[in-house]
This record gives sequence, structure tokens and C-alpha cells, in this order.
Amino acid sequence: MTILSAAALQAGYGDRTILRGLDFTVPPGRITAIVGANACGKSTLLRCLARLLRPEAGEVQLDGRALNRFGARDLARRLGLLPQSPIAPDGITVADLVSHGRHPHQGLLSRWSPEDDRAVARALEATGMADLAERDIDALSGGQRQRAWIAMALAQETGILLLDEPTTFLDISHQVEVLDLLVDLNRSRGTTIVMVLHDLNLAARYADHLVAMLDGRISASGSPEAVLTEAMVEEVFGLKSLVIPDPTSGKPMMLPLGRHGMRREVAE
Amino acid sequence: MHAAPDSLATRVAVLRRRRARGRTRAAGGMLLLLLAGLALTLSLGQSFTPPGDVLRVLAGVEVPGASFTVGALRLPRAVLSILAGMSFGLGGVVFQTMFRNPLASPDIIGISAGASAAAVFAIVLLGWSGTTVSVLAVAAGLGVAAAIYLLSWRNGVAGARLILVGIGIAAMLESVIAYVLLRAPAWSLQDALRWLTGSVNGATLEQALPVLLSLALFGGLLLALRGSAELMRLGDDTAAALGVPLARDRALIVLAAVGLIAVATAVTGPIAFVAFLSGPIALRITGPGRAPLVPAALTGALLVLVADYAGQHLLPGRYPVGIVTGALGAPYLIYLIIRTNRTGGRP
Ligand SMILES: Nc1ncnc2c1ncn2[C@@H]1O[C@H](COP(=O)(O)OP(=O)(O)OP(=O)(O)O)[C@@H](O)[C@H]1O
Ligand SMILES: [Mg+2]
Repeated sequence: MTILSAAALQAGYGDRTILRGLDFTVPPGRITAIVGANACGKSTLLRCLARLLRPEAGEVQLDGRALNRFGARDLARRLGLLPQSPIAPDGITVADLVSHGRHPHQGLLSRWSPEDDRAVARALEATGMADLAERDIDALSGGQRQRAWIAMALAQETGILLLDEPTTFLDISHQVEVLDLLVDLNRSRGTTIVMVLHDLNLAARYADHLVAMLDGRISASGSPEAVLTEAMVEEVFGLKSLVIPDPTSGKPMMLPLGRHGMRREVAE
Repeated sequence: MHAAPDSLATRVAVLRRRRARGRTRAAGGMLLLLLAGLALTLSLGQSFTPPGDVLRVLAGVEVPGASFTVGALRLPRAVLSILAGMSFGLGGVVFQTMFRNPLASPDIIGISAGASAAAVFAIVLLGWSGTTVSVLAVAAGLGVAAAIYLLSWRNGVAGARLILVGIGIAAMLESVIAYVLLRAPAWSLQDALRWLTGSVNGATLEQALPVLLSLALFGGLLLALRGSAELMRLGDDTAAALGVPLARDRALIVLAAVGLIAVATAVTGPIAFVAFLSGPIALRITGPGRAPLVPAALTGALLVLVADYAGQHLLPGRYPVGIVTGALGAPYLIYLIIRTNRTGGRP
């Protein structure tokens, strides 16, 4: 099982440093969810882990080998990433988009093969996009489009999959569907999954491992029970909350406390 | 995860082959059209040469009259038109694809003007000729590309900024060309026009040779890198995550595209808007979905061939090819700029 880890990672854009000395080992074969406020550096961390951004200091390693010692295709066969806001070219069909996921599996000598067709079919099937394969991406709803992108990442068939907010644009049932799908993928193929999520309760329910980020650092990490606490929510999001066990899963569940809309006993 | 039924894999394969066949058919149709255009320009000019005579001249047989009109005048002109058109079309579509914007074409953002200015400078003021001019033009094209890139760099390059900087540089370089031409009193208007708008007047097969070599080298490189160019349309992050070595491939693609444009420009001058128009026209014909590299090359060839024919024989008076393509491209450019203005920089 491949191990992805970052040590003393420092990275940013231009002269703005975003990540400040961050240590992180992705638990192999597990599902990790990263949570944190907007602009705290979650996407920046994923981009460093996938070598899309060169660290200013520190290093990311895959199986003990520095990331920049891998060839581009070789790395892309081991590690996939779905960016937060991917760009679809005009007029591309779902099948075409998903087929792009097979790019790292083709070389100068190994062209498109029946196995590539099967991988595309598996990805379409798993994401429920089989019936929409011929559609233009432009002609899909936001949720269908998101699933098409996930299908592309699945077709890559990597051991590690990083997903930046895979559930944005999805209604609650499709959010649950995508997360269930990721769990299936994790269980059946042992795929290591790291995803950025904004919904703390879904993160706690679906992730084996929870990471809370604050200002470019990891402020807490561990099991959902250990990480999702009232103190963490207050520190990371500056929000008062009530954390109770989720009756359906037994995992912690966070109820935000605002200034309005609550019973008087709770608001006090 | 459950295994997908094989029938779905079969359907995926069928869909893929159908699209590939569609693209091949479109490219084949354009190739036929190009051959028809070639046949027309070779046989019908100021006078008509029967197809049999044309074929005999092509086979190397000496035919009185036809050997001169076809072999020495029409053939070199058509060959240069086709090769230059392919270079402009391919170089243009690659830029448009990579920057995801039809305005990011080398003839709009000053790369053609850079090659052209260097060529004029070398020919008029330094008295150079031949390959050295081509080499200087390529170097100047690359220099302009690098300058635009650096000037529009701010935490990465945004398409809209690159285009604005490029249009400004193009305007500056065009005034350099005009200035150099003013300093060359012995030059005829025909020659001056070549460097302002592009022309294939007085073409020879020797002139076409460097364009052919550049097409073989740079065009071959671009076709080898077409997969990377295709994935760059998905955005830098997605392309890199799919295993495209971005920095390397982008540098090679820019080098090859600039090389194509610059070598062709050094021979024919900057034939207006061919690089800019070929990609969008090819996209209309082949349908969207994939970057139309080969179709854009064929479109470019057809554009130059037909526009030159029109400028010679169909319009009242004789015009260099660049005047005709300029008249075709200008309205489309205005349309795109107005639309860009409305969408706030998005293509
Ligand atoms: N390409 C870029 N150039 C300059 N600054 C950037 C760039 N991308 C992100 N930043 C800045 O880096 C900081 C961290 O951004 P990042 O995208 O990592 O946040 P995030 O935690 O993913 O936020 P969100 O939840 O909104 O997606 C922000 O202040 C952002 O403005
Ligand atoms: Mg983000």
C-alpha cells in the first residue's frame, strides 16, 4: 500500500506563504477528510500533495521517494486529483471527458486498449453516468457534471485519490451517493482517499480520519470522535456549537449555534 | 465496486470509434476540397491549361507554354500557399487551444509581427537573405512570445491579460515594420505589401523548401504532443494530475508553434488572420470536442490557396493574398472583441 506524506511543508503563491511547516501522513487504505474555513489552505495542501504546486520548503514523499523524482505519467498512475473547479472544454461529451482519465495509462507504445474501454465503462457505471455518456458536458446539471468529473478521476484507477470538494453543487441525496461511492471504492479496491469537505457531519460520518486545518496548519487530526469537538469548531471556525452523537452512525454530529432560530434553553 | 457489464464497455468503444470516424471523415473531406482547389489553381489562371497538360508538367514532361505557366508560376505559388497556410493554421490552433481563447492567436498577439519585423529588418537594413532570415525570424518570434509571457505574468498567466499585452506589442511591431519599409526607398510596393499583409507573389519552390522542413519538424512535434495540448484544455491542474509534464510540454508546444509561424512568415510575410481564422473554421466543420489540429492545418492551406486565387483572378484588380484574408478576418476579430468585452474576458 502506498504511503503519501508531507514533512515540514511550506508553500504559497508568489511571496505569500500559505502552508507554514505542515506535517501530514495520509493514512494508507483509509478515507481522510480535510475540513477548515475558506482560504485556510486546504486546496493548497492537496495541490502540493499532487505535485501541482512546488513547495517553498519541506518535501512530499510517495513511498519514501521524493515526489519530484517520479515521471509525470508514472505519478499520475499512482495518484489522482480532482481539482476544486475543473474546466470543461466546449462541446466535450461525458464519454470523452472520462476517457481523458486513461491518459496516464497510455504511452508511445501502448495506445488505447480494450482495457481502457472497460475502465471507462466501470467509471461511468460506478457514478451512474452510463446513460448520459453521449451527452455534452454543457448539457448536464451541476450535479451530473460533478459526477462526470469524478468518473474521470475514477477511470484513472490510481491507488490514491485526492478530491477537492467533490460534493459541491450536489443536492443532499447526491452528496450521500458520491460519498457512498467513495466508500465503495475504498472498500473494494483499497483506494486511499483524501477529500476536502465542508459538511462537518458528513465528514465525520464517512471519514476514518479527520484533519482540521487552521491558517495553513493542521490544528487537529485523528478519529472523527477525537477531532470533531465543540472546542475544535470554536477554534477553527470561530463558531459555537453543540456536538452530540449522530443517532444513525454513532459518530459525532455538530449542530451550529447562531444568534437566532434556537430554543431559548439552548440559546441561554 | 461492481464490475461494469461488458456491454457498456462495448458501447464506450463504439462511441469512441464513431467519433474518431467522424473526425477522419471531416479531415478527409477537407483534404479532397484542398486537392480540388489545387487542381483549379493549377489549371485555370489567366489562361486555361487542360488537366492532361497539368499532369504531364507535374510528371516532369516538357510541355510548351504549360511548363512555364504551370511549372514555373502556378505550381510554386500553390505549393507555397498550401505549406504556409498549413503552418499558420496549425500554429494558430495550437495557441488557441492551449490558452483556451480564439484571440490568443500568434497573429493577434504579435508573434507574427515580431517574426515579420525581424525579417524586414534583416532583409532591408542588413541585406540578409535565405535561411539566416528564417532563423532570425524564429528567434524574434520566440523573443516576442517570451516578452508577452513575462509582461502578462502575475501569479500565472491569464488569457485576457496575455491577449491585451500581445495586441499592444503587435501594434508596436507593426509600426517598426512600417518604419523600416520607409527606410528602403528602392523597394517596390509589392514587396512592401508582403511584409505588411503577406503575399505569395513570385513564389519559387526554393522558397517553399524551408517551410516544408519546418512543417515536417515542428508540425511533427506538435502532432506528437497533441495529447498534451488536448488535456491542457481541461486546465493546468487537471492536465498535470493526468500526467502531462506541463512545463516541458508547454515550452515545446510554444517553440514548435512559434517556429511554424515564424518560418512561414519569413517567406510569405504575415498573411493576415490565417492563423486566427483556421482553428475556429475547422472547429465548425469537425464539431467541438477535440482540438482540430489537422483540420486547422488543412483549413489554413485552403484559405491561403483560395484567397490568393480570388485576389488574382476573381476580384477586380489584383491583390496580394493577405489583403483578401485580412478582409475575411477583420469582421470576425471585431465580433470576438465585442463578445470578449461583454463576457469580461472569458472566451
Ligand atoms: N493561484 C493562486 N494565486 C494566489 N493566491 C492564491 C492562489 N490560490 C489560492 N490562493 C490564496 O491562498 C490562500 C489559500 O487558498 P486555498 O485555495 O488553499 O484555500 P481553501 O482552504 O481551499 O479555501 P476554500 O474552502 O475557499 O476552497 C487563499 O488566501 C487564497 O486567496
Ligand atoms: Mg479550496
